[in-house]
Amino acid sequence: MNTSSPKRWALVSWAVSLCSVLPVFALLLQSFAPDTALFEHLWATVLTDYIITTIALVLLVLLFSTLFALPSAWLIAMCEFRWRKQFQWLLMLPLAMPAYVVAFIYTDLFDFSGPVQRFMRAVFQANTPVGDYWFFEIRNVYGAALMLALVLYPYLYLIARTAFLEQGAHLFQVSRTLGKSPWQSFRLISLPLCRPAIVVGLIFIGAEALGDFATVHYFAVNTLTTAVYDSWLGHGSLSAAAKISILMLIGVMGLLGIERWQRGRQRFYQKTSGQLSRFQLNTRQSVAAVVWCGILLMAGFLVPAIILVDYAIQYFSVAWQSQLWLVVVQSIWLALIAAVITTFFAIIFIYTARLSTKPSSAIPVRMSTMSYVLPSTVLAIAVLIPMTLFEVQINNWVEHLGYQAPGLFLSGTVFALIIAFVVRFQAVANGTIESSFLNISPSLDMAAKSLGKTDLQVLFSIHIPLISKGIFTAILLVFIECMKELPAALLLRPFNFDTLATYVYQFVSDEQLEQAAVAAILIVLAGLYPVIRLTKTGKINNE
Amino acid sequence: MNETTKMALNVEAISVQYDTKKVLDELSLQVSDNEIVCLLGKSGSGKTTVLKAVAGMLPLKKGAISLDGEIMSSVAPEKRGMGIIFQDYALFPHMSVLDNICFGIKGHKQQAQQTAETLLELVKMRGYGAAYPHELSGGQQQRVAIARALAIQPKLLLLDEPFSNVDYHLRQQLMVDIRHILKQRKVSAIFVTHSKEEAFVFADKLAFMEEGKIVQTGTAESLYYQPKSVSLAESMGKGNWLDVVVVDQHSTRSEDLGEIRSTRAHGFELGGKVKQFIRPNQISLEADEAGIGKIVDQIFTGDTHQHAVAIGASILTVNQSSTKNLAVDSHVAVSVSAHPAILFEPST
Repeated sequence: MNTSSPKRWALVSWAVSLCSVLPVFALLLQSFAPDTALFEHLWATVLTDYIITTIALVLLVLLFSTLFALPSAWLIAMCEFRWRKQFQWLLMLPLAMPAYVVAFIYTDLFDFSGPVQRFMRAVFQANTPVGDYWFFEIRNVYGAALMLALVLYPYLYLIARTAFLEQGAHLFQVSRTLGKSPWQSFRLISLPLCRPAIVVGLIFIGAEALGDFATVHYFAVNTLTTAVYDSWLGHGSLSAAAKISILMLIGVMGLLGIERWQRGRQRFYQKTSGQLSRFQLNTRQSVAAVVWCGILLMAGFLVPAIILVDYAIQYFSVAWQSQLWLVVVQSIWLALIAAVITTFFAIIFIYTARLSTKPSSAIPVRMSTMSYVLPSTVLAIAVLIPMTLFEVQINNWVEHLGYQAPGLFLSGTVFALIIAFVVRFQAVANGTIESSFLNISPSLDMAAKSLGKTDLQVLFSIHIPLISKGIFTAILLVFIECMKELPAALLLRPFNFDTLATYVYQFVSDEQLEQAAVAAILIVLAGLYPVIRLTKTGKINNE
Repeated sequence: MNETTKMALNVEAISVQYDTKKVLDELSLQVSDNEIVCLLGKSGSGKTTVLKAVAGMLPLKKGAISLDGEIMSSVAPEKRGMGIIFQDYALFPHMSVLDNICFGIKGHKQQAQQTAETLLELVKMRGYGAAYPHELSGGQQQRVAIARALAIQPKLLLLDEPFSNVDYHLRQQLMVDIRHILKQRKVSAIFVTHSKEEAFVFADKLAFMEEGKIVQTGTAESLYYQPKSVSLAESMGKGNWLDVVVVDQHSTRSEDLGEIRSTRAHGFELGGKVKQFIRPNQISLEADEAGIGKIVDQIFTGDTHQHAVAIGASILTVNQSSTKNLAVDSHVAVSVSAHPAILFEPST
């Protein structure tokens, strides 16, 4: 066997993963740069308000998501009621709905001129101008948080539900025999044991909420993301954008740190066996459970989906235009290139880790996975920093040689977008490829090597054929994520270039979603695929 | 059962169903005060279901369960006063050993901790209170699980294959230690296992289960020497099946081995053809060039050699002392010592 081969793989793996974390290091370095006038101005004027609003927004999103997700996860995992099996995957559907689309639709529904208020005025004969009766205002931080939570809660729901199921029945049953009621057992055993899973879900949701631009912008709620966009797109100050981004990053890392510190020596994972015997709900409880799950499904998916279809039918001639197809084709190409690169890197990372028994061989995988918790806005700014630095150097060098400078040949092209997508969604590909590799017994590698094959030959002749389905899935999942991604695309897209998400968002911000309803439906359909796949592979129906 | 012995648990004709599948079928079981009863049987025979039904974790389709005379059927698991120990110990991983043991103790924290310390000493785990479950070995986790279950002073302890995750030597020690603790604290227990060795060491009484029913209850000796079913006879250990004819109430005749004496009346009709089950240690071999048997194979098992002996067309398994020095291919005389005969109708 060629002993230097694993080292070569490790070298490539480390190099690629270091490149993927390079933007974050660049962001950190940039944050130590002297304050710019813009940042000082922001700091002196609006930044404190933005920070407070951001914290409020994130906390509200986390609170709403917890309220939506945990009771649902508990009901679906631990109780038996009518349509439980259907609800366990139906509750995932809101994940496919972009928050800014939901925000537009609900604003339209609950506005003064919207159907809800029109109906109420008709019923109460209150044919009066605005302000003569009270009606809740949706376009504020509470509304924005609610919209985000409606589409983000499934992350926590899925992860908490799996955690409840994986605890097995024994811990709960022992707690009951030790004198604790079902509620006490849930509070003292099930819930604390789910804490790490819940925290992971919440951190992910928090990062998504922190990175959201479209919804908060549509609701005119100014957060740190707004400041990043204004700094970069409005004032062209990468330095100020970096400093604000680092504030957001500190927030995410702070949350992670607190959780780790609190955990101490305790361990939460103990997969115990025992067949779960669900609590059979009585009729009244069953009705309450169905109503609860039904409201979530309606609010997060069905109502927006029905209205979108209605828009699409009504405005079909406007929505069905040639520009849409150009955008679709552009989006597909962009997403496909990013997906293939991401999956290629994932294969390198995971195979390198497999080749060596050293714990350090898994570091590149973990390093490249970390960026998934970064808000997209932060990541987009982070990607820009090394890229622009490199461009400046090249431009100076070329000019020094007496040629015309090439200009923004990286940050001004789709290259920046592809890099951001690759870094952001590396975790998705890593997870899928890793689980595919885990299904291949290590003895197959040994058998192939004993027959004289090199590591590369083993990869191509044994692993790639065996994980071909996993490769396809990884490409597809990353592809879909790229199609849906908005904040990074808004920040990094070249001039006059649209992805499907930015295309829909522009219509939303112009209050004309009806005209982009077909495009929005395409995004929703693309988002539905992972839910269907999760259902089929048993991650949702895993009982 | 001794009439003066007080009954702790009475399970009366209970049936349990999973969806449409009947798992327990009118099963009855009694456990006396300070008695350890072992439910023995193959996987899927319904042993663990009995434990869960007794603990109140599964609803009964039919029948009743009473503990110390109190009907338990509608009592919640947390109010039954029964401790349970699972194969995977089910220690709460986010709590220290002390917190695990204190979990079910009611009253002041200080008092609870004192009780927990006493229990830790009882299970030979003094000084481990601050440790977390993942920092302990399997045997230590098992001891903590026992301490935690005993902390609530249970009227009945339920043990679901508690020794299957520990290695052989530790298992022997744990069985002896835990049995001693249960006897010392006068706790009745139901113990589930599929291992007859564990059942013999740990239990006072055995109940053999098949397809959701208890087919025989008794001491280890009675189940071993007087099994009422073919399945139980085979579960209790290896044996040889011989076709025999009943000669009288105390003897049968085999074509190859001649007359086989029984130390008890077997109750079968004279002249009837029956199947007889003979354990390998109930047959004797003596080196004899003119003997009817020929040793075709042998395995050294320590104290004994297990021989495969060909007699005519049949092969018998026979255990003999290792000191006998019988070689493969040698001829032997075969005789069956008098023992309580195990006979079954040919159709069973």
